[in-house]
Amino acid sequence: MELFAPRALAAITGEMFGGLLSVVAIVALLDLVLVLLALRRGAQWRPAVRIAGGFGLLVTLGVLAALPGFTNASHADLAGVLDWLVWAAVGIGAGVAAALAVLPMLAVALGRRAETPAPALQRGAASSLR
Amino acid sequence: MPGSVLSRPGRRDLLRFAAAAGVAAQLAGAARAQPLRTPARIVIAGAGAAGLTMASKLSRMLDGARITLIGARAAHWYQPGFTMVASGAWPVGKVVSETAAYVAPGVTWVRSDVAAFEPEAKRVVTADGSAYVYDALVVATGCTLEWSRIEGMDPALIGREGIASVYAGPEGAEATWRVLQRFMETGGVALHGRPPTEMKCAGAPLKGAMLWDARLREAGMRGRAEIHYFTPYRNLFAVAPVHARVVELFNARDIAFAYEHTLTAVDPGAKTATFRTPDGPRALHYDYLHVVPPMAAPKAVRESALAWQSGPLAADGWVEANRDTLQHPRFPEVFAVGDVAGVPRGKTAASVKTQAPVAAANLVAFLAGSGMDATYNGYTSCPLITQPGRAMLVEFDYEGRLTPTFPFIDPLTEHWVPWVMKDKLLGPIYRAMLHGQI
Repeated sequence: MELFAPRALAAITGEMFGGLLSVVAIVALLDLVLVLLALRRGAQWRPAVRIAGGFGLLVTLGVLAALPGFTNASHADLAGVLDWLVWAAVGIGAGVAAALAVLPMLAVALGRRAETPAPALQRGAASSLR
Repeated sequence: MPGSVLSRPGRRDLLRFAAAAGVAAQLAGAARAQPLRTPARIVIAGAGAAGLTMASKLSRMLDGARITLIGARAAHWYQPGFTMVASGAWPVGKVVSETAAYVAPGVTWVRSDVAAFEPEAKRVVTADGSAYVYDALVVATGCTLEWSRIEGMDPALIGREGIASVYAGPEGAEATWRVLQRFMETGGVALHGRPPTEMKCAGAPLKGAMLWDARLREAGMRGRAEIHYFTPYRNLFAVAPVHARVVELFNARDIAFAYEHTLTAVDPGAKTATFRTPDGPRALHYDYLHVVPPMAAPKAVRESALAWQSGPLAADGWVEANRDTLQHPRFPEVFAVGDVAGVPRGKTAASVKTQAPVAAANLVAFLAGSGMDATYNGYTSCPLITQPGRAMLVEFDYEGRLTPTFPFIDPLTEHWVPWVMKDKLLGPIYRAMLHGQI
């Protein structure tokens, strides 16, 4: 049960992912900055959520397909509710994490695009005023 | 396991598990006491899993102590991974790392082996003749593989003449996979078994028999191979419910087994293995022979006053230790951890993970002159792989009671999740243990 102490969990996670944890930390930090930026610029959250959700769904499907192989096993080795629950949880977790990772980037990108009026529309709008 | 309570965990089980995990987490935090200030000289004999873990733990729990770790091997072997290498699931590089990577800061590592224990003088002598005096000693030398107790057997044969053994280090595990691959092309008679002594990871030979069966099936060669398993005892596993389950699995896989058979001789030229049985010697032809050697405490331990002087653990020289506190009853400044500890169970990495905190806490209490309240209940664990991709997470204590860490994982049902733990999770837990973080 000492395995569930926060320090133990942190140590095991560190051993498991090693340098990859630094990448995750950098992405999380970048995302935080992008969220602040998106809030400041008045980001387009709704379309960003739609696209990020779609991306997350793709990641989920990919992970669910690849996960048993990644563990030197196959889908035929999943036996019983516990196995299917863990398999689904990892897939969904990966999808949600991927969606959350790209969401702020999409929000900023879409916000910037919305801020810049299309040149053709500008011209059209000007001529209609005449 | 149909009908088992454990196979259908209720909401109450899950809540109880969550509550216990939370309480344990709180206690673990509270238990992180201030290091004990002491100038004590601590010697740890053995720089394997148990020795490294003890060195890491004690370096965190003691302030000012001089900790000396004695062990010659520069390479560290992740022995729980040997069956994975031997079944072709892992490359051999995954089980070999450097001992130096796990030696805690402030610990002096002496790259030699202990040649003699002199507990009356409170000192050990290394192979190069140096002597180290101690105030407290941790014996964590591991065990030796007694190949010579099997007539005609030489570890140099492993990888040749159909002879295999996952116990002969990383090279042995790799050679076992090569022998198995050849066997998968030819088929024939495969013999497995276990020795008549205490042994590390008693589940490994059983895993081996089932893994090889699975590999043969994958190769479409199972119909051309016979698999036999021999044990000196009257059971396949010392824990009754696990024994019953393994019997079921062996029957389902057409793995024949026989009790009261002890491997006594090997003739590699004639490919014959001889077993001692109640009816006299029995010689059997083999095309594949997986040898598990008898195991004993290293000579230096066996020949010292530290070994059990009588009782069932005396013959192979295991260190006498109180099974609860892991303290030596005649030399109170001595503690035993890992394979060499003369306790009824516990020759696995999982045992080290449970024993080390107990021995470390009690050693610190001994130095502080306070009472020892940490106890080891004999916990050990065996992810019993039944085929690549599935395993049973078997955990039990001294009394042979099943003690699952995760109450929602039935220890007697084959699942993918325990396999994932074996494949991905136990290695990181093991390394965190070596670093003294858990």
